Amino acid sequence: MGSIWMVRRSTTDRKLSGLCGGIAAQWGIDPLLVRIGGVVLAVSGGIGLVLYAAGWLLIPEQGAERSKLEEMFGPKVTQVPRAAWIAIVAVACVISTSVFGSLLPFGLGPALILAGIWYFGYYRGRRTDAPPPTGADTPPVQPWQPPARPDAGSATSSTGVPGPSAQTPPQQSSAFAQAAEAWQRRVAEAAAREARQQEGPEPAAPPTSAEQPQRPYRWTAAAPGSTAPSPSTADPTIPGPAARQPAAPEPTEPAGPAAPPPADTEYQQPPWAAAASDEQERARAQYFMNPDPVGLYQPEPPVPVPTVTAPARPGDRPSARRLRLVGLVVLGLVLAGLGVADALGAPITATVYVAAALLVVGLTLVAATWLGRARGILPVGILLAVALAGVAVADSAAQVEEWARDSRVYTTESSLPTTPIAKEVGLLDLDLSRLELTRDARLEANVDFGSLRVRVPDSVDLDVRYQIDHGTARLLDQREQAGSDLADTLRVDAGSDAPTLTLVLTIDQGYLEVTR
Amino acid sequence: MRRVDVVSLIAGLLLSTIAIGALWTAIAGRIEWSVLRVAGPLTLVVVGVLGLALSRGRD
Repeated sequence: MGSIWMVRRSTTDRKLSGLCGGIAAQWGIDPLLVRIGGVVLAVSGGIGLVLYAAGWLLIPEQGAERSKLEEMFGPKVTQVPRAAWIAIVAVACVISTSVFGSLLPFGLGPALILAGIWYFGYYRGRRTDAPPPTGADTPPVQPWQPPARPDAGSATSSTGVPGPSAQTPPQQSSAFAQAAEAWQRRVAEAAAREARQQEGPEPAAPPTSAEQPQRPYRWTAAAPGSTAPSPSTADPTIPGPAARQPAAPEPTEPAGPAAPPPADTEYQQPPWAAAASDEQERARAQYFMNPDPVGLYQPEPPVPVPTVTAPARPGDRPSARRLRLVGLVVLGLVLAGLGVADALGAPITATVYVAAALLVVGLTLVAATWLGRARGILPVGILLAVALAGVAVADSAAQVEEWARDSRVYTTESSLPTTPIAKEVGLLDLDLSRLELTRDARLEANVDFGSLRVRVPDSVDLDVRYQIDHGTARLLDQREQAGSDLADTLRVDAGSDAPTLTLVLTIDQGYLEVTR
Repeated sequence: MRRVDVVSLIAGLLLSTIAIGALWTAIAGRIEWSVLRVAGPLTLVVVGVLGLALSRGRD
């Protein structure tokens, strides 16, 4: 399995960010399976959403050097160690599970099942199928042997090149190996020609008996001032026949080639042999003049990089533009209608405005499935969704306080409850301002989350005992506290013979106010 | 057959669902959390499977 750190977000197989396509390409599996796994992880406490967001931010695209996070925050992001990113993602997964785990009924079961399927069905299977090569399994590496000459008598030719039956290294298929093999083949052919030439004229080269010259060949004196062109004069880089030891002609005189020729003599070859030899020499010299005959060291031509173009989005079609116009018109009509209703007294809140606008945009997007998506619709929809979340939270907070308002009025001593007044969420308003007391009394109230307001009478002594886990306390304009674990007692004397009203007030999270 | 824009379909369905839920909450004022606990994830899965199926058919 390829490492997850080698994954690149796909630019061609993408639905949102190309993360699933990239993972599928890296693992060599169907992208559909990866996407299904992502959905399953998403409903497992939101882990899939966290992992997807992390992958989108941390994994660069195909062909890109930088990730989204690096594009946003610069190269300093790369200095954060990999272990830190893993820890951050793990903490985010834990937070997501603790937040969404109670909302989603599936728990972590799907994630565990998916992990089991992945490990036993994919990861372990691949490890079993493709074990790492061991020393016993690895075939022994055969050292490359220098090729032998065709005559098998000597290791190398006079030019030090291998013969045609040269042993080539096994399984050479790289460009370098092919070029080297071609070079060896060409040099071997040249060496073979030279060897055959030294042994005698080639079978195809010698002329027929009718063309054989009758005159024997001999070393003859060079004519002074002779202008006969020789190969060496025709091409100064090619060594002429005079520079070599003649071997082929058979001398007819005792003092033939066996004896060193005089200084003023030169070897006269037969015309056919000289022509063939000159031609071969010229070809060979021409061949060896090129230091790189097979183009081994030529710079490689630039490889054209295929430009990956995103598929054309069907958003520029005229039908898409018309749909966007229709959507805007409908949106304007809907908002105008809501405004009129609001003006007429209907309870139209901000949530209704934003939700109606979001519904229009959503339906426009659904229609854009077939008519084409014009630019700007999707971003507007996302912005409206975010705005709706904010407006809904603000509205719900106000509505919760309003709906959960609990007001109680106590005027007589007997009406006071003997058990604590408890409220989980909301506002608890206790009006004791008209309470008539003839003896000491006690009242207990508790609010888990919200506000507790108590109005006390003027003609009693007060003993206020309060405890707030986290919140604010404001008592008779005499004391104001804010913070955590607030616990104290406030005594207020109204007169020497006045009864005492004891208030025991506790709040887990919220606001406590005691006024006269 | 005209090619469908799966992203538009999925985003439109999700945004419309959110908008309808918000309107229902604002007007009716009640949320059945027990229903939402099952219906929410189920809707997401159905929409996701629909998107995957359409994407696969398009490829």
